[in-house]
Amino acid sequence: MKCTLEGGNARVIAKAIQSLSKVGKELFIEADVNGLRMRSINPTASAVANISFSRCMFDTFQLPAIGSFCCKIAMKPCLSVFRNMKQVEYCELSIVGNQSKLKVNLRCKLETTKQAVISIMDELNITSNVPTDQSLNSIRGDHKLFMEISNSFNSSEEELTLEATLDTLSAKNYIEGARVNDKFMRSQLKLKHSEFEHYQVAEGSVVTFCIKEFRSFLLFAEALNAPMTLEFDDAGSPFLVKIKKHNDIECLLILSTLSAEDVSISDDYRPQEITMRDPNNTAQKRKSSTPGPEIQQKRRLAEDTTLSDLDTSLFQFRNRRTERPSEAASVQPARMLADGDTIDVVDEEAEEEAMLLAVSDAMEASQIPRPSSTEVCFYNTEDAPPTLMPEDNNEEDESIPQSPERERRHRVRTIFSRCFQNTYVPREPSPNSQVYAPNSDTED
Amino acid sequence: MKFYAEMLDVLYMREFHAIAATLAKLAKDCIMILAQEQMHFIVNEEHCSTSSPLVWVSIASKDYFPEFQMTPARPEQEFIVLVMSAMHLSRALAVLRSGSSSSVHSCKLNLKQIQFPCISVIASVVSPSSSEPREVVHDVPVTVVPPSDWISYMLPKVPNTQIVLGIPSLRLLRSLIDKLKNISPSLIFHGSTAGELNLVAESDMATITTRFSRVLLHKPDQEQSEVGAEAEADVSCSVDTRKASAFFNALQLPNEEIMIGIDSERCICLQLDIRSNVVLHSILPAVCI
Repeated sequence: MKCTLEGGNARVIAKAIQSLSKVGKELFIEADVNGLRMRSINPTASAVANISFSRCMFDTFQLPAIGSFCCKIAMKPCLSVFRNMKQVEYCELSIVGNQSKLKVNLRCKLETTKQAVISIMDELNITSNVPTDQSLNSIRGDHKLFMEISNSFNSSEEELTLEATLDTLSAKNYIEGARVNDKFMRSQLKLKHSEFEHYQVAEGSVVTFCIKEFRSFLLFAEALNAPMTLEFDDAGSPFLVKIKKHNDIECLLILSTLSAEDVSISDDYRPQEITMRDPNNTAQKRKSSTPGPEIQQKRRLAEDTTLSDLDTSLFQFRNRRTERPSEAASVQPARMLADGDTIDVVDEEAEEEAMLLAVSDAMEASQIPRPSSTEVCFYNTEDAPPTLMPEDNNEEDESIPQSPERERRHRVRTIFSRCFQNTYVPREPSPNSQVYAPNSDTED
Repeated sequence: MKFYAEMLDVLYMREFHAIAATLAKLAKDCIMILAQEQMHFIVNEEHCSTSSPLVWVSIASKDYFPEFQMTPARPEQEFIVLVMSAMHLSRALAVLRSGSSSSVHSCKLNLKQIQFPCISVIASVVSPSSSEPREVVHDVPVTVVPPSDWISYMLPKVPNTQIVLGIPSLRLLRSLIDKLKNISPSLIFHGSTAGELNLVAESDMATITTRFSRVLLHKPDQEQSEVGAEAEADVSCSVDTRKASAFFNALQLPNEEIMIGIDSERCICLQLDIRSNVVLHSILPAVCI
């Protein structure tokens, strides 16, 4: 195989290689009667990029005797060969050495000639059996528009979600309704259909795909100054990106999309106003509710505290918050036994107060006079001092209970936590303790 | 607990972004205090690397926001106090910078609960490539600070200073301090009532004094001018050069004049009047040489 092309077209090929290099580490080259084709696949096989150049881009185009040719070469040498293309006036690609080497001859200005020989790794080609012209939804727009969409997201973003409805397209860096990291900033961009050259969406669909490969193709579209077409069906089915320029260059990027079953969706993660609860309403709710759920809630709280015991700080300073969970843990069995009694005996107000105290634990930790508040909070509800009441009612309005809890995460895991508990008797596990029974093994 | 604000003026939006960008340069996290008629941002030393100074910005809501509604969690409370990542806020507002490429119609800020509390920044942007406005939404995750912890998030007070000098060229001061950073770890600010500011950097080999003469002198308050007779002598304070440099390098605002208040041997108080009711303050504590 041998083909030659002039400088401008060689630069296009160089751009194509650059954008393919962002997809995969290997470049597949195929030549047949229609022209030259370059392909690349990413390591996880979730994206295949295909750029084909028609014969009219080349000055001469000689095929081998068999009629077609394909090979696989490493991307790295290719990239460095096609790096500085500004000076190139003429380029010649040929296969030499019994189909084992690809020779690149670049003739530059001032009669300089650069010659590179890249070894062929394999006679291999990749094909995809994805139908490329049956998508229900297709959106075509200028590369600038897609560039703006891509630029409004952080460069470290990995996935992009497109939500297409009949007349709007929203691009998001998260999936509506799915849980995100606590420190994650959600971004979205809503576009009207009139911004696109062509907007045909049969029915609303949501697709999530990898943004990295999409961006690499976008770069090529920018270099060609050509419009881009997105074609897709629904979540889970392939997402196609097409670029076409004067029938000479045709590009196709096939991206796999996240299927709907992989994402757990909950209404809790959808937008809602931060509302404050009406104190009267909640009070009514409490009264009408049976004690059953309250027991459960309390029990869960108790479990929470035992779990959080692990999170207490390494050394227990005079910090009230760190001291509380371990204390609670030590008295916890007693509390569980007393559970049934409390429900019967306790009057409603004290009950409610106990819950509230438990819910807003962080605030309580810094406000309420300490000495016995853990006991009050967790099992000894009858003895609750009446002076605490007004403060509790205040706490009720804070409708976002999780914000105080978050701090807990930063703490260090306790080492030898039992040593700091009240139940700890220092001499008990010491090595020289009294022998209650002789060693059964009489080896010595 | 509700918060809603809307900006319409492009100039104000750009300034608001510049403030957020300044905060993002100074520290990872910033504190947003929302009051009935004011919005404050604080960047604290605790929240950032050691070389950043304490900086706070007070914004009169009437200036920036034609619409500003704040409902605290309980009627008797005065504020909503939020902690958020300054970087996220700056990124979310970056669309307001809007150079020649696009223009912003409006920007709304809204406190929402989506899985966790967020400040939603909703901007309506028109790009040159199309006539339709598009909506850009960023949800900046925030932490709501409960009232019991407000004590540690209160707005700092501007210290009493013996002398206040207005330096007309911020750019000059910035590049100067940037260079002095390599010479001496501490920088001495000498101010005199004659309207002179001397910046002294000392090293083993050299002493570099930069003299700003005829700088605008802001008359101290009435009570202080009574002791003016004995304050005739120079007031000086030495501060950490890296801190000063960090402050000047972080500033993203177009303003050129900065006021430097010197509290003798205690601190330097820097004040940047972005607008009459929008003020950026910083305190550089004194260091012992």
